[in-house]
Amino acid sequence: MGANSNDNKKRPGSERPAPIQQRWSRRDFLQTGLAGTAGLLSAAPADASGASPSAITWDAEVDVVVCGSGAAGSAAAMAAAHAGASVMVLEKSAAWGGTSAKSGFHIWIPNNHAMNKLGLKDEKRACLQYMAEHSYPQLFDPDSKTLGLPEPVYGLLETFYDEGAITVNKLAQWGVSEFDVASLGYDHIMSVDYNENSPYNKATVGRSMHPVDRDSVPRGGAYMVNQFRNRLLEQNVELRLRHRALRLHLNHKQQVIGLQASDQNGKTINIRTRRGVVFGSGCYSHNKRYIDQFQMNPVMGSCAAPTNEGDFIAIAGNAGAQMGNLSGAWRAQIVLEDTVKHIATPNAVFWPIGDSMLLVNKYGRRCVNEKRNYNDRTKALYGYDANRAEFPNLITFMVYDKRCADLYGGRYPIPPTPDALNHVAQGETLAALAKELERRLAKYSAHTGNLKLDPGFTAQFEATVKRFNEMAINGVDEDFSRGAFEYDKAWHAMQKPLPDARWPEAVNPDNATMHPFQDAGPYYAIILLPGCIGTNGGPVINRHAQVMNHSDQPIAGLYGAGNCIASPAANAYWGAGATIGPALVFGRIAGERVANEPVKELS
Amino acid sequence: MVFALLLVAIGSLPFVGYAGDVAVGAAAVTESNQAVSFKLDVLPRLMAECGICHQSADPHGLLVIDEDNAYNQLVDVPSYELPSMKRVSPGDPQQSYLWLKVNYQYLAAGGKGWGMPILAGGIRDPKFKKAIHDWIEQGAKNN
Repeated sequence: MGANSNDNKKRPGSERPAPIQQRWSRRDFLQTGLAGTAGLLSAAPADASGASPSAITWDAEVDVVVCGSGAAGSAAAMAAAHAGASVMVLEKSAAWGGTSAKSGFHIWIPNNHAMNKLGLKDEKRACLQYMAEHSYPQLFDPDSKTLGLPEPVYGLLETFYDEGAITVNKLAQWGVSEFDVASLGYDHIMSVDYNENSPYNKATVGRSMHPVDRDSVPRGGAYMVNQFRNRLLEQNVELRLRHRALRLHLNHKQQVIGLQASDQNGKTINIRTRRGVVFGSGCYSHNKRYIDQFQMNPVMGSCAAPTNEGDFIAIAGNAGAQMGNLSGAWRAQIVLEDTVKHIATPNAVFWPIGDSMLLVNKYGRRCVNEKRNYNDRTKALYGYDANRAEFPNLITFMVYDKRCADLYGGRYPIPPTPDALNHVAQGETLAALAKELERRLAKYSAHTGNLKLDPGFTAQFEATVKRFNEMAINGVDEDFSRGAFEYDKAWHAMQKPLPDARWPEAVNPDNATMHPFQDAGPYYAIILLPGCIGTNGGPVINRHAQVMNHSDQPIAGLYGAGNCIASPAANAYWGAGATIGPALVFGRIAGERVANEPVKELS
Repeated sequence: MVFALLLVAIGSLPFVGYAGDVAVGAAAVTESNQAVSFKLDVLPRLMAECGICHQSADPHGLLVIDEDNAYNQLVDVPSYELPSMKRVSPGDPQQSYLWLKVNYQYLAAGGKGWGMPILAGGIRDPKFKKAIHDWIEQGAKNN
């Protein structure tokens, strides 16, 4: 099956990318990006392309087109190619790899070989209970056959469990990469799951894995997406940058027979797909219209790749796909000034790093355990005050002292030196720091919803630091239990700096996550907004990664995986790599399935 | 989702790794006096490590690193964070902001921002680092 067409023999680099603008402003991009999206939405007919198949001039023909070159798309393309299909990958961006290229590329894989080798067990029922309880607390029933979930939803979790280790093994067989249990920091601390407190989590370490090279050196996203790229080229997969999917072509049976896209010159092309199309095209984080439409709570920026505009939502929607989890996201705080400068922030605040550090809200009060994982911490900050009709903790201030700056400088978001980046507010006293925060909030009012500090901020802020210092000395956070949990301890320890003679060790070894602030300044603060790594809602898939229509039937020839579909994890973040793990697994499944689809008739 | 070691690890953490095992078309640079090719030894790795943030859709530092733009935007062009220094001064790595950034010497020279690749404290692959250094030292040719 899948004899290569002539088109499939083209090699990447043959196309010449269009000249780029030297200086894009965020506004320019949003305007053009949104205009393009709006045009797409308004122009696309309800039956996808609306064109009669017999009237379409095909510019290329392959068995399978994959849209997106991140983890999901690359796994799909790899699997399809190894199954014998001719494959073309379209990447909208001028850069390869999507958000995965920016990632640490940890993958959360249940019952993987590496944890088994360490003697760690991960029994299926218990693991599924952990996932189901965390992802669907409103439905969870530990005694139900499907754990209280609708069968299709349970099926996704079960498939992920069953196919995870298989996927990791295939990545090794294909020469993409080996993986090992993730351990971090110079003490090589094992990655602890993000809800290690769950009574159903029977394997709190071991599921998170990281790629390792031939020398067993841990690697990251840049390495992985290029491993994929190199292996795909060896499989004669055609890779096209700056190609944006526009709409699907369907035959009268509503089967996918092709894809319309714009090429690197903006020309519209039609690609005949004999067997189907897989989307691994990323989230909608940078589509402001969708963010405003779908997100229940404010999402004010993202570190996702800048071309992640949720194209698949309109494309699949026009083909009759049902949508799910549209209000979902992998949440994290982001730095205010980063959102002003960039479309895609360079990073997210996965951890407010340091020990003599705390977060306060506009009232000068702490509002969360600063050491909890980014997803759950950000969700917690959405707590709504019904009396004041506001989100009091929406925007927070990460405050730290000179000790913390010296020890942790260079680890995001604390710059190498306080003056190295403009997102650090400084003050010789806490009161002076509050004044500087007021000045910054006024400057960036358009980016914060016109947030202002409460008139009582400074007095409360000083009291908060005083109380924090007392609790740090005692080693017990009586307000938010910071440092009381294995996750808090492990992820703080794995980020600790090398011993530094300038500053003493933690004052209370029972809780190294807390240290009193210095009596004298300078003090520093960074303004944090609620954001995300990426949204994770979109078309609903089944356990074969097929996109489902509103009759709960697969749309023949249409598949999806990764952040462009309704995530099987819903709004839970099971552990490090819970984003890319399912992306790889369902991407691989999609690739294998689509390669074995029958050839669709044109009419 | 990569920090100095913070090696941070999570699924989506910006992390700096090396590029793939062998960048397509790239040749290893191991000898100190070996001629370095920008197109074969430097550009593929720069695109792999840096292209996702330095792309035309959202060029961080107002720098685009892709096939069409990288050379012209690097060589003899003032840096964004330290305009008194060029991104690449042919023949002089120590007066090249690119080299100082990836070698984590930029702060001492008066630069700003994060070390590159971001938060990794510089490139960790000694061969790639040497390729950048030697390419600049050999005149930063568009070869």
